[in-house]
Amino acid sequence: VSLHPSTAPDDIALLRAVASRDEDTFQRLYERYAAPLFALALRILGDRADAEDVLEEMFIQVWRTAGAFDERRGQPLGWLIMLTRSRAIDRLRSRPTRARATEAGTLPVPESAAESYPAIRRAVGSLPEEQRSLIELAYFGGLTQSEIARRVGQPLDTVRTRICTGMIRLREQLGETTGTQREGAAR
Amino acid sequence: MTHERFRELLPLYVIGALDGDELREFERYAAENRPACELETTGFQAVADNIALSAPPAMPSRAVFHRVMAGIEETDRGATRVRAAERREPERHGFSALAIRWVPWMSAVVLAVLVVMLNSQLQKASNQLGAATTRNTELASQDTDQQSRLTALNGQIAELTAQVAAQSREFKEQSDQLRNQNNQQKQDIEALQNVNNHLAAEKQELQRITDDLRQKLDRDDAQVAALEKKLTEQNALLQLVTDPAIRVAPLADPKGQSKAIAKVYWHDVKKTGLLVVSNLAPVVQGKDKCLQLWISCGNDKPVPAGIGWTDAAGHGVLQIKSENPIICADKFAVTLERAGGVPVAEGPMILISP
Repeated sequence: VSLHPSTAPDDIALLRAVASRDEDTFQRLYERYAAPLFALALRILGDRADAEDVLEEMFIQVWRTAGAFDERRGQPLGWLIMLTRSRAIDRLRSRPTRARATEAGTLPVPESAAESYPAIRRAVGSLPEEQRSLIELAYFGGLTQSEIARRVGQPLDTVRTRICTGMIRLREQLGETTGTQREGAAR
Repeated sequence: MTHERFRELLPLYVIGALDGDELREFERYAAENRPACELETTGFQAVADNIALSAPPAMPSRAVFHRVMAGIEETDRGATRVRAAERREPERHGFSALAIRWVPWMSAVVLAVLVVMLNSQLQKASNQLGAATTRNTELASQDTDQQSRLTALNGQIAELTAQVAAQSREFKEQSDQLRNQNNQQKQDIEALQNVNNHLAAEKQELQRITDDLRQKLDRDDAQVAALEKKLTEQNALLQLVTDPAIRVAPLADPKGQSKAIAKVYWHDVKKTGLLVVSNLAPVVQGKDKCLQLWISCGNDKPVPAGIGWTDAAGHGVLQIKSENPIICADKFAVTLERAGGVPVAEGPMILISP
């Protein structure tokens, strides 16, 4: 069972083609992953305009640096997620006050996108609230363990323990979702 | 750091929660032990990537795609310019080989040009120095203005500070005044409570006195009523005694041993009268004895005509009352009987009329 999120088999080929300046292939890559990566940026920033800026900058970076992708070090979608999250967290930290990431925007979502990754959402949603909230503060809020402990008013050891327990539990649950990780796969 | 410690920190690292010395130690260990750490990091990194995909679904606007495409075109134009510049670079190298042959001439020309340019640069620098001096003057003027504004602001701040201090003093005075008023009101309330308690005690005492007076008045009323009743009886007796139809019959000890004397005032028409006794051995009411009057008519048996008592000195008055009709009264007698009287005389006769 692979824990890696749904990566289409030809993602690596797509990135190679993008590296060779194939605009049609680049468009296919955009259409395949723009929605989940935008959702990630929006979840972190809580602002559609900022999230769209991050998405734009990230895809331009992909066009420029696709040749630097090393398939031995990870999946293409993982690389795209890393680029998106890094840019969004940087933008979040550059704000005067680091507001906590809010829920996603309210614009209509195409049915195809709404159906994406339901098993993953179920797995994350099934975590106990005290674990899930801390993991989300770290991942979507860009907060370190010390910052989280101060914000929620809990001892640092408690925060560490709850995050680690939640991550291990999530890994087990995702490992059990055999095949379901491919639902909502790239279209 | 041990590998076990690395594994403990890995879940925190992949979601960016690790910080401080722990983060530096973790990254150093991972770099030094890349083969062993990379596989485990990849596994947990996938968990973090899945967290990214758990974000609520959302779609960017179509404009973003157009902006991206415009951006990559701009990128490509910039890259094209760089490549074109790189292609021109070898051509410049070809010309330079030719120029080497003309170095002396070119050096002279360059020297002349440099002199002209130097002169021009000096002039330009002089102009820039003048402009900078002007700018410096302007900045100094601005600085003066800023200083003036800063001074004015400091004055306003000092004025506001003084106002705040004055208001603070005023608030404190008002607070002290209110506190004093409050204390005074508390004292007044305590005094009023004391007065109230005192009045309550007085009221209770007056209530007790009123109750006593009411009881005494009741007793006096009863005494007055008894006296009025007695007075009425005395008046009736007085009227009876002063009636001209009254007949007086003296009574005396039949044995002649006692100094006791008595008289019966009898009204033959009204069939009533009085017995008045003196110097009898006292027969006090409430004991087990009483005096009983008897009236006889001719040879008939005497009939009881009332009972009575003397006072402590042996004096007394008895009103004649009989339940039986008295036809005539020839003789009167008094016996000493059981309390309440008897229908037929039982006790000793102590007085009798002739």
